[in-house]
Amino acid sequence: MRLANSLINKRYFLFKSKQMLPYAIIMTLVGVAVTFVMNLIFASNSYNDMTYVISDYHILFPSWIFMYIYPVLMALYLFSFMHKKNASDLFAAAPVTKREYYLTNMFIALIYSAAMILIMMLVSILNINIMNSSGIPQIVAFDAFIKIFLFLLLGFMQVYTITATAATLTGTVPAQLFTAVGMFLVPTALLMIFQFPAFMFVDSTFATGSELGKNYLVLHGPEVSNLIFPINIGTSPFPLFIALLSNNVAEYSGLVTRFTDTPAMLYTLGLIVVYAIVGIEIFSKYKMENVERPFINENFGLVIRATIFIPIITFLVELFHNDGSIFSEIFITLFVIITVGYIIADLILRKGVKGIGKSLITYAVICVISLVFGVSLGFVINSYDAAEPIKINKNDISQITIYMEPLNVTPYSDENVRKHNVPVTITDKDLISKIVGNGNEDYGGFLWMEVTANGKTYFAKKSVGGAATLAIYDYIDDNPDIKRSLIVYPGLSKHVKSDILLAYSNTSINSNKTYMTTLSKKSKVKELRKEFEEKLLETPCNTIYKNKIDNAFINNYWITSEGDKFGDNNTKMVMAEIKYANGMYYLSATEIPYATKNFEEIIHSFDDETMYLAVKQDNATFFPIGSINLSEEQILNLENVLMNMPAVLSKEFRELTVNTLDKEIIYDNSVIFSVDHRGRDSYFILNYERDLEPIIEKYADYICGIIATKAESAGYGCYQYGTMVLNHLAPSNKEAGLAELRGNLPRIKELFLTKYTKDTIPMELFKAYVNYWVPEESLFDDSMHLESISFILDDSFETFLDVYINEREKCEDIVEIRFYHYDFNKELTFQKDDSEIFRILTQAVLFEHLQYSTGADFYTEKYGYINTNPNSIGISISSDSYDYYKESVSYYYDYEYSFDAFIKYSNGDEENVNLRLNRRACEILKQAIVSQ
Amino acid sequence: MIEAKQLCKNFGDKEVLKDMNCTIKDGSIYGLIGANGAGKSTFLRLISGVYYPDSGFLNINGKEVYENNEIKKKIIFVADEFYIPQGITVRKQAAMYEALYGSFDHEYFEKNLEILSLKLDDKFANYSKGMKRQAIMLCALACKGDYYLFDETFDGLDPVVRNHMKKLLYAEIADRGATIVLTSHNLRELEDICDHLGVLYKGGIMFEGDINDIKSNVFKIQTGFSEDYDESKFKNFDVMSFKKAGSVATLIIKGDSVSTAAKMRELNPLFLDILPLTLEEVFIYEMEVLGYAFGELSDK
Repeated sequence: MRLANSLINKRYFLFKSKQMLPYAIIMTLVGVAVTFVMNLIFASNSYNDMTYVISDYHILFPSWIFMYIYPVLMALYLFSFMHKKNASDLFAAAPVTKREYYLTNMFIALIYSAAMILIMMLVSILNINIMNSSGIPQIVAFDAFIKIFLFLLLGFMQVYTITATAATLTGTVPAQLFTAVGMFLVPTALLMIFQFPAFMFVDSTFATGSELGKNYLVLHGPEVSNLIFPINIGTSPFPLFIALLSNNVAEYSGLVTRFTDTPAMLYTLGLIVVYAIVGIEIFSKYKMENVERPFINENFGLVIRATIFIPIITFLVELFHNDGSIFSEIFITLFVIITVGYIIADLILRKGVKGIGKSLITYAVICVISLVFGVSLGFVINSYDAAEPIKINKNDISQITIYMEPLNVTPYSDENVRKHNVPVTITDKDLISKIVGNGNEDYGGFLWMEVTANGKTYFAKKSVGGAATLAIYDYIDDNPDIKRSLIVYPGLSKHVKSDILLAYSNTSINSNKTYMTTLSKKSKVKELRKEFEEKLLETPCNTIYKNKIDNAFINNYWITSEGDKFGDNNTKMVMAEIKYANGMYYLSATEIPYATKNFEEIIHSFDDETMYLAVKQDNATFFPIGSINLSEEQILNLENVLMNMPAVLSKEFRELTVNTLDKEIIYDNSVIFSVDHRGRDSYFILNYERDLEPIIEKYADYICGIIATKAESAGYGCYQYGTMVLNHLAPSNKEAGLAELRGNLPRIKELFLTKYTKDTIPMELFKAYVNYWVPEESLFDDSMHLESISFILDDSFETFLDVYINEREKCEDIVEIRFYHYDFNKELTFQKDDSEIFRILTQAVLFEHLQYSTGADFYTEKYGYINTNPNSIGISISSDSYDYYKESVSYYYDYEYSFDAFIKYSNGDEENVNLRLNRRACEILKQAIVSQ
Repeated sequence: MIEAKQLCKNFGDKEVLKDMNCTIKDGSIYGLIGANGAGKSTFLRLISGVYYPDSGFLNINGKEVYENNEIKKKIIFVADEFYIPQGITVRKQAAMYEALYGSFDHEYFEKNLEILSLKLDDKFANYSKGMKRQAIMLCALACKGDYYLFDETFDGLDPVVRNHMKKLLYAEIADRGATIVLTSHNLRELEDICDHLGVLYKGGIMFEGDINDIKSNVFKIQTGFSEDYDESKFKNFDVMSFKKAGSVATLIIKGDSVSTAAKMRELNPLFLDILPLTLEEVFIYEMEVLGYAFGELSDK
């Protein structure tokens, strides 16, 4: 009690808290208003629609902004008596010790920060629920909420403590602010100071033949830019600015999870404690005669100036030191700006011109130190590649530890290679000799390794030849224990496509690892893993790694391919399309060349209202996406007209489009155009003879010469746009469109390759599929007059159907689904019933089975179709609804929950299946849990 | 008892207090005079624990003040430029004193506010400088400390208020045995209030004592003799000043006035007038004796 009394002064606490209350209320109201506006912005962001789940970002972001404002204001206010002599007389004479002032003020800041953050977070959640259009209440996992709250509170307190401690070193507001900035950069400055010898040290320990160089240091050493904006330090403003500048906040919000990591929070807490202890110590000895003086002494002011300017100038040097020309124009410009800024800041601190000469000399000294520092650093960094590596005698090497990629997982990037790869220690002299031998004889690869020679260990990224690689593989194959260590279980991270959603990802992943460990002791998982491991152990390393490379290659190639680069241009893929309209299904099919650019646009949408708006408002873009039965000459003509006269044709096409919408649609000898209006794509058909030829005639003379000169490339140009064939039509209104569609069905069938009729297509497959991924009410709804599902029709489809039917029947036998939900922190069991959640979970099982059985991947991502197995089947779905399209993008980027579940069948069999749920399914699951 | 021994305080290169010695007895009203910059405010800040001495010590009842809450809660310091937060009312200012010092006599405060025609909900912004001083002094007195330090607080108060304040200070001494230290650069402001005076000059107490003793021990004599005479005629007296105009001499003599008068009559003067001195006159002569000009000491 006595201790408490000596730490916090109750009377002062009550008085000051009360005095600060009105200001805190104003700050909170401003915070709430900004939170509300930001929530609105989030809500309007197509990538962050709030129809489903609350992201940690939505809650965290608004408060984050105030992290750099409110604690500073609080510290200025609470220590305002340090800026006025008369106030300091009253407060310093009062029976309150300086330590009590410091700690009581800190306690007040803590209470108010907690209250403000809590209110802003709750307002965010409330906002999101109000703005949420799904009708499903939004729930935030308690642990995620607490984690975000703690993160923000620590951030607030860190900024507060720094600013408060700055008050103990200064006597005026500007000096306090400058000092606070300086102190904020102290860890950075210190790291930079240590960085230099660190680089030198690393530089001197390069192993022989190593490829170590700048990259190694960038990846594993302290990096200048990271130190300037220490993104691993939770309260760094850098990620905030990035996020603000970004249209797609979600992409950067992975940073949030990084900061809410326990080490990051402990780091922040550590800084708070250090700054507080320093602050109390200094303040206890603070001489009140320093009040109204900028710094407690001149030298300290110099240190602060240097602390602020050295990193800034060094950073500039680093930024503009390309090709050795440090003093580029932009560098000099920025340098001048900084100098002017320094002088102005100094004048403010000095409250006049007195002593400015001394100040300028000081500045010159700081600049020289910074330039020497920065240039030296730049020189060191740039000279890595030229660094003379240490030569190590092969015979002196006693041990090599290589970092091998796990057999069953591929790390995402080099950045984490040492973290995620598995160390394999090799002492075999022959193998060591092969590894450190000449690595340039053939293609092998790079390996991270630690080389131990003469009792010293060197790090190296070593080029390893093919023969050495095979020798390593053999060595691993011969040592089952080592090989087993290369099989890793990284939890569910490989299924979680984003670490954005704290409630559904990081927390879950970490918890899942623990849970899986527990489960593995008592369930079938262990057996399944054993089987899996044995299979891997039986397979030679060479095969495993080769397959991994091949798969990665194919995957990446698909993803990065622009279509026209992919494979054989003559290869065609048979696409079928199921259309649903007014309770009826329609089937069409077509061939899509692999060369098609913008592959996803095959699954195009149509919106006649949008189209009318687009063509009338002159804010749409038109481009041809395909043709039907056009001759080469016609294509050539059209291509040239379009390519060469877009400005003229723009208006004509708009007029033409409006007119055509009321005309009969002619499919033969027609061109399909896409109109893009504010992100919505619609399609329409213009008949060559009727609609296009008059225009071509009109401009024939003009384009004649162009055709001649471009004849050779014209065909390719048109090809580039894609020879897409019409998927569905463009009715001018819903009823007419549907009638037209029905009426034209025979014609469609005649036009397109038809392989299945509606009677032979297993509709339940598609319905189940669609119901699984998208809200039923938004699809197959009367308000949506046309929907489609596209899939590949080839010989394997028959197989797929068989598998599907078998798996579906099997899934009907599921009587219980059991799994652990980490956000709710409990094990859940769902018995077979008619509930929606059980149906969803069963479907999830079905699709996992299908994926396992057929090798097909089920994606709803933008690119629709990724198929790594030539014999497998890919399915993509789409909708005519723009909202749906938006959601489908969101599915890919944002929302997916993956977890392991135990499935029990009616015959008593049990099975462990990894299930994936989309956002809506997650919400329904949450509802089911809450209502239980 | 406030006791300063060899007290030094420097601000940078400037020595403000240098080996200062001073003792202020409990239950007294101690007036400290000195020119601007003499170190009066610094001394009060040292007493109140705002500043820490560079050397020497300053104790109250044998205990160090700095960062000592037990002692500091007995000391109420009102600086020459007292702190009033912007837009604050008298009530809130009083609350601030109460929060900082822990004790506050509301009844006393409100009663005296009324006497001085001030109101609790008045805003300081609407007060004159004198009214602000009154309110702040009442805040300080209501805290019921044992030591009150007023830095030039009485300067410029009108006679009526001054009289009331004087009564309040006397009451504090009489009722509670409080000790009061007042500073001023003008001797006249203090002579009717204080019972002890100290002169602060060049960083040290140059002269101090009980006002009554000072005043009664120094007096002016105007006299004349039939024969010619000079200063040597008064060699048996403690003459601080001697001036002669014609046959009339004006002397400032230190000592007991009755015995001095008797001794003077033994010299058979033609006339003898014994006149009291104002405190200021006493100080002028005392300073002259010490070889200083009074103008250096006091801003009249």
